[in-house]
Amino acid sequence: MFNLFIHEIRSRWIAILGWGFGLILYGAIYIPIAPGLFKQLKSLKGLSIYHLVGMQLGSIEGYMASIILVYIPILLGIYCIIASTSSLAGEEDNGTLELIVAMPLSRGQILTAKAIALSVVALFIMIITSSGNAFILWVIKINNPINVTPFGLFTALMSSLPLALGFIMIGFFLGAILPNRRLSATVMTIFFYSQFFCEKYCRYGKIIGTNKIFFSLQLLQSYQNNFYRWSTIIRYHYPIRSSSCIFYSGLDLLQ
Amino acid sequence: MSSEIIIQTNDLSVYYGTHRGVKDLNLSVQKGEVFGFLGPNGAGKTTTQRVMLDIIHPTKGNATIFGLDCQKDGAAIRERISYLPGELSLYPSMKASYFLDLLGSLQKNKLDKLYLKRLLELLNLDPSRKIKEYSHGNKQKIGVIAAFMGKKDLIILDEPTIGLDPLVQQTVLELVQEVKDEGRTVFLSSHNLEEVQAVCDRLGIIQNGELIKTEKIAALTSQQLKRLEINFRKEPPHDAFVIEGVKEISREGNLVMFEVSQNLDRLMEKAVLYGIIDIETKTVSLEEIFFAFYRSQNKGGQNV
Repeated sequence: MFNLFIHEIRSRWIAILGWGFGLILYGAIYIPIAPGLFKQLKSLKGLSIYHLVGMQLGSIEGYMASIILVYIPILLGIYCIIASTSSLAGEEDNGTLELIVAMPLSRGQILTAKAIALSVVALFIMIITSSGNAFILWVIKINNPINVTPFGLFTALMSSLPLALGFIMIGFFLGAILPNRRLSATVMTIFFYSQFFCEKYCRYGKIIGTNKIFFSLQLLQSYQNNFYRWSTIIRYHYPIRSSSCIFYSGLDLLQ
Repeated sequence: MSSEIIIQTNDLSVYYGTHRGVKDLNLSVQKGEVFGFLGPNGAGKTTTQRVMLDIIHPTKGNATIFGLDCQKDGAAIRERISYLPGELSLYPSMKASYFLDLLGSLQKNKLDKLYLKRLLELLNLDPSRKIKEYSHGNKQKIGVIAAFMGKKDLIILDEPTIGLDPLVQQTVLELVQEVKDEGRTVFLSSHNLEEVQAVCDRLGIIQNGELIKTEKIAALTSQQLKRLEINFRKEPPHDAFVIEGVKEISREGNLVMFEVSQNLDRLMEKAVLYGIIDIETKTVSLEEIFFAFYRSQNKGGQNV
């Protein structure tokens, strides 16, 4: 099982680097322009369209929360959809799963190895992304008074991991119960965007306390809580427990 | 060959929705035996193997290997089994050496590197390249090596020689023979009747999901169809040999060819009436026997 876990990680090292540095690039584009945009952003404070989509652009902190802390987890979520559906349903479509299933491992061991490996891959991507974005912010802070610390940005970005794990588990579950990868990826994508837009409408009119963002992680928490409100397992509020529950439901189905 | 039963299926049935996979399949394979599993496409060969490996679950009945239930003790059974799928899919961007190491590392027992090296030499495969760079035949060689390298007690091979050149096919058959000589068991599913005839001890013929015949290869080839070409002194009339189990298949003047499944003695009795100059016995291949089975089944008749 450990060897399968190692293989799963080794086979994704290009994805780790590609997505990790790709998401740094996203931050490299949007973080440096923030100080220059501050005056213009302030004038947009009352614009209702931004409230409608849940953005708070009237401050640098709000800008960071709305542009970096929302979209990087979404982009990571897209990777989670691709990786989790390809890991099980994709291998089944390609026929390679038959070789793995014929090995002396139980279904549970195979799924656990793959799920943990993908979680570790998501962790590596987020460590690279969060470190890179924190570094960019640190560089920008040298000449600009920004009331956000690089460590605060790092921890806020890292806190999107439970969300990523949740998506990985749901991707596995769909990959296990649906007939092919294309269908599971489609269902997963629809689910992903539905909950995102529903979440935005739920927050309509709500003013986020941007000064608290890096301490309370309110933005991501509301995002995550809403995600699980739309999931089938309402009674579990803690994301990791929900993820595990979905994962083991899939496991039961397979066995 | 020992009398210990390695594979046993009991009324095994698998349905994919309303589609039949296999139906009430009862077969047993003994230790040290090379069992050939023959049948046309869609007959249920792969389905049977997938149940044995616990890749799919039976709708009814069960299968046991080494006395363990394939569904309950799947992982324990697979520790002692290696498998070559009929539709072999490999990881294209992986090096063959890494792939073989990966499969070896997923086994409980440590891989015998010397034996792996010998297999690579026997099949003339350089494992240092990426799998996508290999030809179809070389990919099949990787699958064959993966199946044999673990030195498992039971090797399940689904069309092992497909896409291989005749020399490599012969090498694979020699490997099967080697496994048999070591007292291990091989379950060989194939379309290639020559290879089944060459290495198998027993043969199971499956059609439409049902096992229609299980027989020793030697018995099958010796007891079944015989072909006789008789050169008569004078030409016999066309209705001279209306005998059950005797079929006239060609005639050129006094030279008549018969296919005989029974009543050879009665044919001889009648043949001497027209004077026999020469008799030639032709070997009937397993392929012809195989098709005779299917013809008889499709007509709803008894086994030949």
